[in-house]
Amino acid sequence: MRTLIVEDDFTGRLLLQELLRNYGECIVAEDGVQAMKVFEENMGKKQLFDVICLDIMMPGMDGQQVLKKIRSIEDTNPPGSKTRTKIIMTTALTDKSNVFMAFREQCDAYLPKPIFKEKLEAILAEFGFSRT
Amino acid sequence: MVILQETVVKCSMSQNEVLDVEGFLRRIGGDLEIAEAVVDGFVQDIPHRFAMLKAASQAGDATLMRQHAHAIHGAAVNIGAKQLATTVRAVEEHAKASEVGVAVGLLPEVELRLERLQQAIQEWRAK
Repeated sequence: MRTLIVEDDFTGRLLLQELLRNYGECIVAEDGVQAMKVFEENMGKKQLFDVICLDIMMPGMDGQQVLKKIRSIEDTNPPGSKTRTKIIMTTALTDKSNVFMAFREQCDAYLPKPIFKEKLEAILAEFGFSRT
Repeated sequence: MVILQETVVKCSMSQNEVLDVEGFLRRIGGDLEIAEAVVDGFVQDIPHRFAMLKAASQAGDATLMRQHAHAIHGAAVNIGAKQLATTVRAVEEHAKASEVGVAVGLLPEVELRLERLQQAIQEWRAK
């Protein structure tokens, strides 16, 4: 499993990296702008991400904007050319409007902080991913 | 006002509320190695983040205050620093409502809770 962790908080990034270390390669981005750069560069090299863990409140470009942009890029791909990246919103924002907006923009799961290992692994198992 | 808040903090603060290590360990499957790595990362990062929050408050920038408070809140919630999370969440909410003065007034309490947390972390790591 290849994962992109998008999180502006160092502790949050570290926690997700540690929890996902047995699942495969993890790349980190510290904000939304960097995340889009990494996503598009990797897409250009056909090194796709299986999962993106995406925080919402970040400086510059927030997670909702990143989600929308990634889905719009994926929509321009030829049909059947790639599997859609699974996007898990990992955030402390639990208000209805953020949850609603994220699912409207086609996130795959919403995982509020504090992060529970069991919940994260249950979501990954549902997506068909297991530890390597 | 600050003295009153400090008194309240002293009276109400149980060690578990400062740093809920057991809760954190439960959430990460009991992996002590991960807990130590993440808490050590928190200790390294948080002074810088708090300095940025203070700088934003001195500039009267509600948006930046909200962002930094939110980041500290997320980190505190993740490691089980309940008291810090509660106070910094209040800073975030007041900054969101553009009540910069109220948010700034809470910073001494945030600082106090950070000091207590760092002390609790030191005690835990020394065990």
